[in-house]
Amino acid sequence: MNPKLSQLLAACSVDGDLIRPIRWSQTLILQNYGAIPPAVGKRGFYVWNRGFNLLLLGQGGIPQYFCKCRPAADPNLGRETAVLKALNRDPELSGVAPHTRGARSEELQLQVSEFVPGDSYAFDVPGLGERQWAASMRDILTVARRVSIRAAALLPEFLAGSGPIVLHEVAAPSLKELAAGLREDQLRALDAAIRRAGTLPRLLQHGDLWPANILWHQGSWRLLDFESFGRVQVPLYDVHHFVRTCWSLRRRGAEATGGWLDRLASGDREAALCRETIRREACELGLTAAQALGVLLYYVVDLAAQFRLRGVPRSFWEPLALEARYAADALNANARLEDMVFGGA
Amino acid sequence: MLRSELPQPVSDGVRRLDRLSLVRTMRRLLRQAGFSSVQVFYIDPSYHQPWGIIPARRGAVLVYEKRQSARVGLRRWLAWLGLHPLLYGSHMFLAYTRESETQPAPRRVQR
Repeated sequence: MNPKLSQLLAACSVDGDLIRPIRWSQTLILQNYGAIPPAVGKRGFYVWNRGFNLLLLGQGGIPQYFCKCRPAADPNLGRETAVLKALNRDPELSGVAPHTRGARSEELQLQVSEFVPGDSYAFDVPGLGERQWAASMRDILTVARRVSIRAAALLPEFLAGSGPIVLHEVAAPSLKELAAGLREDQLRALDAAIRRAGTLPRLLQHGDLWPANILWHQGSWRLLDFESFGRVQVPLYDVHHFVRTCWSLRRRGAEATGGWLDRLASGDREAALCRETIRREACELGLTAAQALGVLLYYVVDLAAQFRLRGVPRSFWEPLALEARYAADALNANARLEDMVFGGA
Repeated sequence: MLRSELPQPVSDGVRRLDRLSLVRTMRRLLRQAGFSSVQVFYIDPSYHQPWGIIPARRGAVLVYEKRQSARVGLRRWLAWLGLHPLLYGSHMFLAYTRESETQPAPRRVQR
């Protein structure tokens, strides 16, 4: 194996098993975004522009460690390593996050975690019955909420401030990013609905809570990929992301026939389950319907803006930008959007 | 009939069947050329876009395929049967004249 990589692996070794020579024949390269340093420059700032993941196999070809390798300048990996270390040390959450170590050189940074076995929720969610699906969403969101609440105590430095969040202030940069694609009246309507949410209690969010980042193992749910953890501190953001992505996996192809807000407001049985899930979580977090709607609008706008900033293809963020336009038009038509999407909660 | 005249899926299938013997042949040729050690990898989906690089071993291929889908479909069966070249579009060969036995001591590394 490359000596630079071997040095970092050895530095992450706990019981000496990564000091032994590691051969490429024992290593799977996964999600290879590109070499470090990059052969060619690419647009955008996000992690998926370069780096790769490794799966190290142990005796008998059994997966032993999962490693992420990124450029030294990448801020997200160090952040994730700090989160995983803190969560794993906590007796209450040690089962949710794997044991993790990190090392860095001038050029590279590496994160090594114990391999987390389990079944990906992304594989299961399309085939679950309605009741099972609703129950699993409830359980997963309970775990995610527990992590968010506990993480605030474990990682106080991640909190951007001590006071509540003023939603329209955190939404302003994202709205500005999308402003070119929105009419003046649409921008005003979105801003007004987000302003109506007022202030919210600060809560660290996973940031990418979707079925592929959730595993079921030995009777419990485990969360993966904390690279964006804490970037968003608006409660209910994870809930909106999780529910939308779950339903997208259950209704592949439905995205083309209508927007998420449209479907959420529909009379569909599964739409009612989604609304119920969001409503219950909003109640758990002590949020009103206006606040839940404000967060939903912020979520749509922020996700579209983040995708744009990362320089990903237009096809990724355009449907979300369309959602924002749809919501703005509905608000301008004096529709009670919170009644439509949350059933009058 | 020329390969190029076959319908595209049939032609692809024939090319993939051809590859079943490629690993053994390449390994032999590289050893004959003087390389003492040869490591073989599959590249998924292709060398143009090497998203995954998998050691050409049954266990590693099964681990990789299990990560791709929970369903025990045709791909999992092909992996289990060792018909790996039917699954992946490209191969990579690492050939060494002499293997390094020692690992350099860690330095300039911060934990």
